[in-house]
Amino acid sequence: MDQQKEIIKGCVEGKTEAQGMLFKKYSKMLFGVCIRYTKDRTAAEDILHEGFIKIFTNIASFKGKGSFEGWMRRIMVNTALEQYRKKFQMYPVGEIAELETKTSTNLIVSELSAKDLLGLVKGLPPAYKMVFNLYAIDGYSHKEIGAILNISIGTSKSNLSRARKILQNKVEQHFMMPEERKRC
Amino acid sequence: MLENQNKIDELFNDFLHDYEKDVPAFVWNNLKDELKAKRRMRVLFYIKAIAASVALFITFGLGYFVSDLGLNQNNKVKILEENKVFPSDKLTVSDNRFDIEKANSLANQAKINNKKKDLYKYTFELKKTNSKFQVASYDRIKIYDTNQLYRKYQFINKIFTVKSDENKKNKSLVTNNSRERKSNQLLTDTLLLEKENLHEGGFLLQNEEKKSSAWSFGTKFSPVVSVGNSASNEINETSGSDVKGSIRSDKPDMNFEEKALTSYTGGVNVNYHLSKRISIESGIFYAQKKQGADNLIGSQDNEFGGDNMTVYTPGGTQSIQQINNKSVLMSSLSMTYYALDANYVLNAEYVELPLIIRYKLIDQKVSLDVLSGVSTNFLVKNNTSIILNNQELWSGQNEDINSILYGATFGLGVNYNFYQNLTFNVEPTFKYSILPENSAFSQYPYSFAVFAGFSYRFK
Repeated sequence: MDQQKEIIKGCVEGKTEAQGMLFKKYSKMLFGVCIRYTKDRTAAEDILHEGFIKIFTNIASFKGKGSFEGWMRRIMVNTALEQYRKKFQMYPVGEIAELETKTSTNLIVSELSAKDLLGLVKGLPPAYKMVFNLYAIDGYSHKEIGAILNISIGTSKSNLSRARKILQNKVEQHFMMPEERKRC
Repeated sequence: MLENQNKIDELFNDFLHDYEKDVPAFVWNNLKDELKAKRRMRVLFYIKAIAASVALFITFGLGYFVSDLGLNQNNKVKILEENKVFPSDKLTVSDNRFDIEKANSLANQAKINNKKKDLYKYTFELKKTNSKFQVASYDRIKIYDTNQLYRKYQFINKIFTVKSDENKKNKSLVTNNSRERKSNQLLTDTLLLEKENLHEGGFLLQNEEKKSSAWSFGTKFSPVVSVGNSASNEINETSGSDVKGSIRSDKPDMNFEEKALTSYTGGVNVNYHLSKRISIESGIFYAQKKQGADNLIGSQDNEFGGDNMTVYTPGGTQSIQQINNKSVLMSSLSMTYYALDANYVLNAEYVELPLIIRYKLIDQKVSLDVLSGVSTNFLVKNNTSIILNNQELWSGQNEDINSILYGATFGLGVNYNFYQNLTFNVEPTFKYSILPENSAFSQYPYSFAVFAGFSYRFK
């Protein structure tokens, strides 16, 4: 913790060494966040770059309240969303009822890897991907998502529901045991 | 259904919330470059702000100077003996001394009056006087101008008013004759000034300036801060390092982060005053210029390198005995590159011969000069070193430094004449190297210094 404080202090003072240490310590984790919100690696690298510029520029505004990692994550997520807003227009999806989903989730979890699941998330349509990432992985509420993406709470819920359905189908197709698939 | 949805969320959350991915090295390099550029932009912004402030200051200074010139040169009035108008019997002159006690007494009796009309009239006429005259005591001479008198109009007006209202005998000081009134006013002002400044009383003299020699000399000293070039910070390919600037898969990025180190300059100067406002300055100065680079990179040949390590510096490569404080940066079959916690410092020392023209914008007790000129710098010492944990691993000379440099200088001089011919000077100056200083460093052609020193003008 003291080391983190030292690094933050150095970054506030604009020291390149401290900035390098901060980048070294957190870049992998934050790159993982960026990758989830983008389709390709290049876009994720751009977001990481821009996000770190924001972190270094605004680090003095971090007053030590709450988690520093959480603060940086939020910056990365916001940067990713800014990029998303520039590229895509959120299209409204009508309020839909909760979609029926297959009941089976007996997956061969041991065969799953983060890379596989990441591939599935990245394959989602952009609007669904954003909502799913924000809600399921980064813990935002529908109200917050609505405010961030400028959509209604209902749209957020429906997008999440569709995202879940798509993901569940893909997971079942790729990773369910054959007998389980038959039973479904 | 809800349970399944939660399981999907949990599944992805478990795997992806803390998902980490290796970041390519170039992301940090690009980021570092951009941060550096932003820092440079910030410094440039401050420089521009200072330059704008200086420009504003000069503009106002010029305005002041021009207005001062108009008043004092075109309408200068010498107060001669025939202009003396002696006051009424209440203000007596004896043995060339004014009766200060009586003046004090009058001042003390003064009350605020509401004769605004007279006040404005007085003010107007005093402004129009535009005269400059000398007030002398027995042992020193001071020059006052109408601006100083003007500031005292209110107080003086009280004296006139009180006298006219309360004592008709003193009406002689308030007269309709403008010339007489002007003279009375000047005399009264003189009286008040003498009361404040000369104590012993005084008398009006013919305007006569004291002459000083055209020569003055001084000494000054300043820390110097170099400022980065706003242009590209690409590494100079002509430097000694054969891999510098290369971003190849088998070699690390050799972009050194140049940094300016604070250095010092100082010396003696001689000025020749061509006129009251223009002077030429020269002298001899010792000027130091320090630059450096952190986090050097070293390499070791895995097959034939032995214990020696090749250290890459902005000034070329150096072979150094085994270094312990290192971490592996990149390794291949034949070569291993190390990140070293070592610094490179280039310390160049010059003898500087400047030729500066100074122009006095404001000529008061605290005067303001603008200065501009050129300087020639002769290299006298050149020392480069590689430092690790405050220990010098290697030192030597950089062969690529130019032995003669040329620079342009711009600045301001604030001078305070604190005692007779002695002046304290503060001079913020900005220098620009006309030619590149050396091939090792390319980024710091600008430097900023604030000289402080004293000068003495011969009598």
